[in-house]
Amino acid sequence: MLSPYHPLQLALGLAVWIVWFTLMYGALAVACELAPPPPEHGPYTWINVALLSSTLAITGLLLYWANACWRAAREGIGPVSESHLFIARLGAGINLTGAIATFCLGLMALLFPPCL
Amino acid sequence: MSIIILFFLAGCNGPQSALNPAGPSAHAVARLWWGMFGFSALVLLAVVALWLYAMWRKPKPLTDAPARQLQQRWIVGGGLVLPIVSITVLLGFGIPMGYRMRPLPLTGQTPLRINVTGHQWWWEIRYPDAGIVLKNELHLPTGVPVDIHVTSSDVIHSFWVPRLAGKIDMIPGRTNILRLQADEPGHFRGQCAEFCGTGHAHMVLAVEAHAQEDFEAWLETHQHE
Amino acid sequence: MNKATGKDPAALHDAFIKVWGNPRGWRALTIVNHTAIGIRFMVTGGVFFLIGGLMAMLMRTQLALPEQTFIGPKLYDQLFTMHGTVMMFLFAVPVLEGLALYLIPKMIGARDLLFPRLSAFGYFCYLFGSLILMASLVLGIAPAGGWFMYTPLTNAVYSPGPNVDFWLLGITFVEISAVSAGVELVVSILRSRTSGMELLHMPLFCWNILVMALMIVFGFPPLILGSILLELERAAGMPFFDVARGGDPILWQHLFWLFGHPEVYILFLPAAGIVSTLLPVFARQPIVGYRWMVLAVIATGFISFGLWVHHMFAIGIPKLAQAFFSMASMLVAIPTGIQLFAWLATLWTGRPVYHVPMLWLVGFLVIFVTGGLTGIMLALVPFNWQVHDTHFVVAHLHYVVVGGMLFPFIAGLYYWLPHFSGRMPSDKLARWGFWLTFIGFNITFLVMHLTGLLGMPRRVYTYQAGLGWDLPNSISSVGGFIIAMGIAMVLLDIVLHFRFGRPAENNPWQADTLEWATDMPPKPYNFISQPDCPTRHPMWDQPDLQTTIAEGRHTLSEIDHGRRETWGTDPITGSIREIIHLPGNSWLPFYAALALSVVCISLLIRSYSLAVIAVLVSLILLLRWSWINGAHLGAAPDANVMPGYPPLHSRTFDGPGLWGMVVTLLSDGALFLSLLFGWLYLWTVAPQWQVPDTAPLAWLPLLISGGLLTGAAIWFNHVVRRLREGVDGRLQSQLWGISALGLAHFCLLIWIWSASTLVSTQTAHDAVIAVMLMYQLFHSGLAIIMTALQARRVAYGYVGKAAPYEVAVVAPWWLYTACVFWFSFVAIVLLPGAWGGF
Repeated sequence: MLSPYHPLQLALGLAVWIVWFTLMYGALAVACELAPPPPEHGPYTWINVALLSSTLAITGLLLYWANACWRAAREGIGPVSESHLFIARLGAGINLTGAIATFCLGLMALLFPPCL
Repeated sequence: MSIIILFFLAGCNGPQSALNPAGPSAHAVARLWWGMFGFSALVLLAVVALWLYAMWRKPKPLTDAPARQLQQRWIVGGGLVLPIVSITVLLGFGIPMGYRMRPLPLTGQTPLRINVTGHQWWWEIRYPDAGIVLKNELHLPTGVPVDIHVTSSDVIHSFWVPRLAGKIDMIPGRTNILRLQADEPGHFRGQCAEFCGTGHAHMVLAVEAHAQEDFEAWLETHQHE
Repeated sequence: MNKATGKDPAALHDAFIKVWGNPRGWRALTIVNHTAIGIRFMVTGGVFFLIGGLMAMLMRTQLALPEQTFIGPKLYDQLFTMHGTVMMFLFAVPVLEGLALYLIPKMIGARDLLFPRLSAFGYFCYLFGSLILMASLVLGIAPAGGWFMYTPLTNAVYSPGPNVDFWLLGITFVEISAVSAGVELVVSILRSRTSGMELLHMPLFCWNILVMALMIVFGFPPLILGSILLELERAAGMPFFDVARGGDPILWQHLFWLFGHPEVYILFLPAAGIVSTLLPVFARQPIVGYRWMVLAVIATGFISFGLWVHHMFAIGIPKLAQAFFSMASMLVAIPTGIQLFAWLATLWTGRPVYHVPMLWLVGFLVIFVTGGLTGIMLALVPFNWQVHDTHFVVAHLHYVVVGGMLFPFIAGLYYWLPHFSGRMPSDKLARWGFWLTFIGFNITFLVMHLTGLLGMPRRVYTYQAGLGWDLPNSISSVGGFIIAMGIAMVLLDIVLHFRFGRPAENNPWQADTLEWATDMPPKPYNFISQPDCPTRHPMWDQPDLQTTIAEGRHTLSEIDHGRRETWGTDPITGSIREIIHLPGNSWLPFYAALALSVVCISLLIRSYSLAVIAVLVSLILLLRWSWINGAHLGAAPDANVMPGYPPLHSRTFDGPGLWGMVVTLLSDGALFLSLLFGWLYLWTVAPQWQVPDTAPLAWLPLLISGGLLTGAAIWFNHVVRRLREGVDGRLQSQLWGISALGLAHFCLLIWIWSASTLVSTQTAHDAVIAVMLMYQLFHSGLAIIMTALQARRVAYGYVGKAAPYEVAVVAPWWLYTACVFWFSFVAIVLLPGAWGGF
């Protein structure tokens, strides 16, 4: 994993979010094109299950990173400057924001049939 | 200010007014609007009042710790809690409502189908079952859902009869479906809502809703023309 | 480091001005200094603001009463198209960039931006692009398809004249300027902060501009691509958006809004940065929640890229997809809320003082919060279906953009006015200006929400009487003229203050940031000596900074070497790494932009032979530009540095050019990803997508061509590695060899294309592949030319072991070009094969 003090932490969490979001949106369109489940099934289709599981996986990953950054910011592993602690602290926030955004969006897959 | 209030009392009843709903979809949106309007007005007033008060008040200098606590409380309370609660409430109302407006499969009935094709700058209306073709006028039965299948022969237009429902774009190569329903007989005005060239402002649609039996009679007479 | 004590400021100034001075007369066109360029951007943008405002006045006059014939539909359509275009592309983005170009180096304690000639080039691109666009209005053939240019209305069938071409070409030209300023700002903020200014000491304004600049870098390419595709469709008949030939008009909407939504935040973030700069100064208290603010700004930057579909809720996409974008649109309220309440908390715990900029900040608050609230309403899909494309949206967007950009910008203008001119504005006129604008704005646009709810669509040149729209429209029109009076008042104030303003004292607002340590108005070099800045509030901590800087008590105050210099520092810790020497004044940016505008005009009049000539001329000019660089005597007359100082950047491997190259490639990559997106989108979604029966390109020669390219890229990388180890044996012949290898790849690719079965006017499938090939050839060709140029420079002695910098700059280009090849290969050869159908 990327060091919690690495400046890319300021972008990573949300970059993962936006990539996941775009891919999910694209995959939804493709899935609906190729194998649309019947509308009677409502939200209980393989597409929704796939979307939800990707949501949970990404949310978990981002939460894990957020936690790692947070702990690194508190403990200050090794000789690190104030700027590096700042990055870790901010990185925790960015990863957490990404996790929340992922989770909120993914929740929508609980509510709707995918292709209607 | 009084002029504005006057509008709100008298002015909502135009023939193309979304605030003068005549169908279930438009009713739902109008209610949603008034609710959101009230809530937003409250939030706006509260935020502006707080801001002005903050500029006016002369606080005693705080020591660091309570100052930081106070600041955190503002950010967490105003920046996090307020928007999150508002969003949750809004989506709680809005999402099911939007879902009910979709052309979902109905149990026990198939909605009447009307095909509408946009042209620069007129509407072509076809009743596929009855074989009727009309220009710039649309006739509906009241009390039952109607599915408008829209497409376009040239550029993008948008089908919109505000008193009955929201709008849907008419896009060449695609067919979109808008479900709408009129509660009472009457005349409604529709207008193209997507900019479509120099005639855009005059691309108007006359909509008339007839009571069930009148509509049957209307179909009957026009079928043979 | 050498800390000179108390030199004579006047003598130092004279010596510095010899190196940094701005020429007058015609030679003023050669100026590359960021202060001059920033002001040019703002003044030009201000002129376009007035032109855009004038168009708004004409429209409001037409709409004041029903069924008027003052302006016909043809002119009205041009007016609203140009009003939106001018305000967005020619006013809002350029003036904010201008402000950033002006302020950023001063705030971070640097002497100039890192690519000064690029600043000047960007300005001239903006100027010429704008003039081309405005020429269409004068000729009466302005674009009339709306600022969003939806196809098919804007294709060659429904808009046959040159109107749309003016937009596509002119705006793309202006966007080049925006992207180049974006690249420059990112690199300057990261690499040229004065010594000791760590990341966490950066003023919030710099954070906001950093995020804005990165958003420009990623957000503009989709529109640039879209414009290129649409222009190709119009001029060459390549059917990207034509349903019958396998295209899809919705692709244009995706590409446009992929740019269009981030654009709103590109405008808002710098404005928020202005608020975060001004409020603490007037509240006499540091900003509350610095880290929260940075988090909010970064989050806004990212989330704004996930909202674009909310402009397309009415096109009939599945509910689940709508729900995603509805949710994302609402999420963006959270970081905005955080900023808002952090400002509030700053005021709450501070002891505010009242000056004119504060008035505009209060106006900002009221208007922007209103716009934000209606924005949340619009994110709700059922409500959106009802009011989308009505005057409700017109009202909303003016609340957001005027509240979120114009009001903070004017607040900033008043705040920095003493910095620009050394004089204070008039309090009385300023108050009149504010109140007229504020009241006029609310009269115009508050009632417009109602107009929209009453069913009035956007972009109609007139309306029937009796629909309930008469009175609200009249009120809006009256309000519009009150705004005009308010703006006139502000302008009058600004013009008069140059003559009658009371001279400003030093740091008139008792601000905390470094830009107030320069002279007022600033000298071209900003700082005679560059101070250490290990704090967020340098001017509060060291109030005598201005004097000590002018006396040369800080670092880098030697000038006898004749170089323009500024510190190059570590992006995180701000510790000094190298001396960056900057190029001086030059005609090349002006000539290059001029040549490109000839390209633009010749494409407009479809004179392709002229276009080819102009492209060649601009290429030669740009190559000449890159020639005067690094160890060239025109760039650094003297390569010696004081004992104890770090080396010049051109003698290292990690100068700003490398960073500039990487950021440029990020932007380029965003363009390529948009193209891939278009390909996959059309493949899966276009209603009548057509694929040929056999693969259009021969795959084996394609593999060989890719192999040659990869070989060249690896070889180049190897050369750089050897240079790093201090070995430059046979450098010149190796670089020639790499060019030759690249050339073989290039020629083979051209042969493959000419032998292929592609007919790019027949199907969107073939057209997209043709564009991918063009993109590849462009990059490969440029890689070859740049490498050949490096080989020549080795021969001249400008590049080598001692000055390895430029070779390191070219390396990422080769890597990128090779990656693009293989991505394209997968997308157009492997994927369709696996999918079953070419």
